[in-house]
Amino acid sequence: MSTVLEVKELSKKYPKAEKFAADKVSFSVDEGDIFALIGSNGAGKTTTIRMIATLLSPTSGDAVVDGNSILTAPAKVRECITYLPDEAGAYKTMTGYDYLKFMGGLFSDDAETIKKYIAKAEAICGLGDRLKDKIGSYSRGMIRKLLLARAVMTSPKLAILDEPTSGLDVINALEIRNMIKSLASQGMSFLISSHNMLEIEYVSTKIGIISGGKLLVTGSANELKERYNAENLEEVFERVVKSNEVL
Amino acid sequence: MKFFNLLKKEISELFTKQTIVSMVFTVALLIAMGQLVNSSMQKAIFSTDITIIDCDNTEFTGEIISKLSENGFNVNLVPSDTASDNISSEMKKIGADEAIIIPQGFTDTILKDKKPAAIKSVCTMKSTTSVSSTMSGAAVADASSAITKLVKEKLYADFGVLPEESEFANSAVEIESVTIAGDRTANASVEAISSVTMMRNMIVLMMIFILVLFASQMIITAIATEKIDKTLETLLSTPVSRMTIILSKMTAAALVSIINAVAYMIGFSGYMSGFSAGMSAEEVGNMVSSGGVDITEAIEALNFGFNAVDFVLIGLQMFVTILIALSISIILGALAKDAKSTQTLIMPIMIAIMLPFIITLLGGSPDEMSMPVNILISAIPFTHTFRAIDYIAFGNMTAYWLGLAYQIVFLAVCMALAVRIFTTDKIFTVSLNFSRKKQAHTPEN
Repeated sequence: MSTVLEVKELSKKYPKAEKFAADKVSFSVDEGDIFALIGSNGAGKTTTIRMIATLLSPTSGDAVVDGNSILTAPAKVRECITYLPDEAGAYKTMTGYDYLKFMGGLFSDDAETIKKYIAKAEAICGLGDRLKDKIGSYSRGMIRKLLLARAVMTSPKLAILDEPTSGLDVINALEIRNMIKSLASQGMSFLISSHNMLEIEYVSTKIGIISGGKLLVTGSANELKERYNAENLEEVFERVVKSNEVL
Repeated sequence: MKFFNLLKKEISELFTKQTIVSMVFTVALLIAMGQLVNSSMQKAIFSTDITIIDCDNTEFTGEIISKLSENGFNVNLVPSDTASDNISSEMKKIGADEAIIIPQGFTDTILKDKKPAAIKSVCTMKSTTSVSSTMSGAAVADASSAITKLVKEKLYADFGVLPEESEFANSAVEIESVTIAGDRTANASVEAISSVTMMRNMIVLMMIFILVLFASQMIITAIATEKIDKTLETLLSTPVSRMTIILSKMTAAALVSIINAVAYMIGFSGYMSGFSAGMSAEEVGNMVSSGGVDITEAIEALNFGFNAVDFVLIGLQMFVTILIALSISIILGALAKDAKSTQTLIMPIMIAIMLPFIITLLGGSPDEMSMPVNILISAIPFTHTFRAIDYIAFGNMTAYWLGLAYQIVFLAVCMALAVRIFTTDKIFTVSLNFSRKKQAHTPEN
């Protein structure tokens, strides 16, 4: 399988901050992978994700998405990724359909291609006729489904999802997890971040535990559980963070 | 008790630092405006200083002038042997803005020919936009009326008036109003001309004011909302250049605010026509002049009627102004952290537009301001937009181009800053937190 994302010693230090928010983070994501970054609040997940999404410039290091460097070819990177921020909203005055059309128009000028994007998003989000309603009337779960559909409708090489199920009820969260797994099985790669260990264990193919800006360990859920002799990912996380082990 | 508990919470939410700053500013602004109005009113209404150019220079005119002083006027007498044809240069020579000219032969016309003689009531118009210009000329008008009265009294007291001469004696002095603007003069009162120019130009001033406020508010809210809702992050991660995103926002805000401004102006014109009983500006001017003077001709003589080039120049300045407002608003919108800070961030723009607007309306002439105040007011880019109307009307094109050049430099700096904020981390890392001092915002990690 080809590598879609190669993160090389990516670091970020904010102005006036004493510590690095991300400190020499390195990992890779292959085609069809669901790579999950897990860590507590302020661990450096969002900073790392935002750098890969070309929203923040790294202090040092680089990330290459489908052969394009975020330093030298950020515009090319944006062509092959989509990004769903944590707790992101959508334009409330637009209908769901208009929103998909608007976002599709940012990725392509071809009307037929945009139609295909919308058709794909309609099938993925499962909102049916509610797509004709204003987004302002949507529930949080509906907005999240719409945004996720938007994030994957362009078939990006890499979909970056920050806390994709945060704040959602069990049913909605499960639907979104299944959606991600299904799309990954079709070859789409995902980089997701989450606090929810159970979710990560269920959905991801690779996990990276991040703490204090440092990526402490990477591997599949089973590999990590075996390595740390733990019953679940929460135990792995606790042991890794406490020992601050760097592999 | 529960009520007071709730009341305390509501007051603490409403009475914030922003509320106090806004309140203090409003009070300071109102006091400053009051003082400005007071000085204009004092000068316009209560001034008794009057310059008299006595070209006749006879014993009769000398007596009238000395009686004028006895009647409370502070007369600055400028004797002159000849009545200059060029009143404008004569006024400049003696350094007066207002004067009464007693022409050569005044005494002979009245005493020998027994015919009414005219005096010229001259007033320099300094602004076509300020309310105070409609009040200027009050001292010279009062003095002219006083001269009419004094001549009549003198004719009755010293020369004896036959019954058939009473009509002549009662109106022996005619007053010819002359208004000067730059090097041009017109035979109409400054009050009549100002009432017309004010009605016309007020619309332009209001349009600029509303345009800037609307556009600024829209773009600050749009960017702040996108930032707070995190739709901006989504937008900036798409394959669209940041410059395209900024330009689309600016264009949309400009277009919507133009529509808003036009709609408001239609409403405002209707509102203003109510005050003038549906009459046009010219009809109002003719009514105010009430001397059979054609106000349209007077305005043309002073070159106050804008031609196509003038409209293009005003439009150009308005365009630059709106771009400045939008670029500042982009910067301010990017600093927003939450909905509350958005409201506060609009304040600097409001202050920057209100201050020159009010000063222009109240007739705060740059010549009459102290140097530091003038520098401060001139540093506000919108000041030059409001002043531009007068610069064009009075043919002061150097001041117009200097103002525009300053605005273009200001715009370039603001745009560069706005683009820098949008094309770097700053759009996500910089914010203003009003509970603390300005700080670098570290986003959630």
